[in-house]
Amino acid sequence: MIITNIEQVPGKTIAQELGLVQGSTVRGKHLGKDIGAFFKGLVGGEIKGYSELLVEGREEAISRMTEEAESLGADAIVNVRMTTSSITGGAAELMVYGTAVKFDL
Amino acid sequence: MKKPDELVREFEQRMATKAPEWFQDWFGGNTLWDMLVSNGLQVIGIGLAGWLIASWFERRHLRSLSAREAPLQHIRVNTSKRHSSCEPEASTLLIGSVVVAHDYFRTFIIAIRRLIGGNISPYERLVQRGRREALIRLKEEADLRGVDKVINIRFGTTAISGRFLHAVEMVAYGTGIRTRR
Repeated sequence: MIITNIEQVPGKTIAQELGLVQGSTVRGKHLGKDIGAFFKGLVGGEIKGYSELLVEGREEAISRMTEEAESLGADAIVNVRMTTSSITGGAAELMVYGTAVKFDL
Repeated sequence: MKKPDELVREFEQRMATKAPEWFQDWFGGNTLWDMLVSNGLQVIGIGLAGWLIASWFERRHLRSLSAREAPLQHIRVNTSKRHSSCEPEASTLLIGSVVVAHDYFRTFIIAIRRLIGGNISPYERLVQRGRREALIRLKEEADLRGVDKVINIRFGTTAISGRFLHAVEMVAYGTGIRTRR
C-alpha cells in the first residue's frame, strides 16, 4: 500500500477513485506514564511518554485506514490528512483520512 | 432521622480529621494547601531549581539540534505538490512528531505575563524548538527510507492535556520521493 499526501502517486496513473477511507483511534497512557510526565514537568522539555503515545496512536490509525482501503481493493491512498485532538486528560484522538485509488492495469 | 444541621456538623468533623502525626511533622500540615503554605520556601526552591535545569536543557537541546541538522541537509523539503522526475514505488508518507512542555515555574511566570498580553516569547521559543525537532525526525525517517526529497510538507500544532501537565504536540508530515540521479 502506497500512502502519499499529494494528489497522485509519482510515476503512476490513477484509473479509479474508490472514495474516502479513514482510520481513527483514541489512546491513553497508564497512570505511571502520567506520573512520570508530572515529574518531567519540573524541568520541561520533551515529554517522551506522550510522544510515544501519539506515535503509536498514529500508527494504529494508519493501519486501520490501510485495512479499510485493502477491503476496497485499493492500490494506494492519496491526499492523506491528519488531525490530533486532546479528548480528555491523558488521552488523545488521532485521525487519518485520505482517498483510496486504483492504478491502471 | 438526623436533623440537617447535625448532618452538616458530622460532615465538618469528618473533613477536619487530622492526618497522622508523623505526616504533619514531615509535611507541616494535613492538606495539600497547608503543605504548600508551610513549605513555601521549599516549593519555590524546587521551582527555581527546575527552571535552572530547564534553561540548561534548552541550551543543550539547541546545540544538539544544530548538530543533527547539518548531516541532513541533502534532504530537500518543500511545500509544493508538483515534482519533477522521480522514481515510482519509492513514494511514502513520512511523519515526525514531538511533544514538548514548559517547566512549572515558567508556566507560572507565563500565567502572570499573560495578564498583559502581547508576544509570549518563552512559548515562541518552545514551539520553534519543537518544530525543528519534528522536522529533524521527519528527515531522519526520510534518510532511513532512502528518499532524498520531501514534498507537500504540512505542519500541525495541538495542545495535549495530560492528567497533570499540559503540553504541545508538533507534527510534520509530507510525501518522500526519490529523485532520479
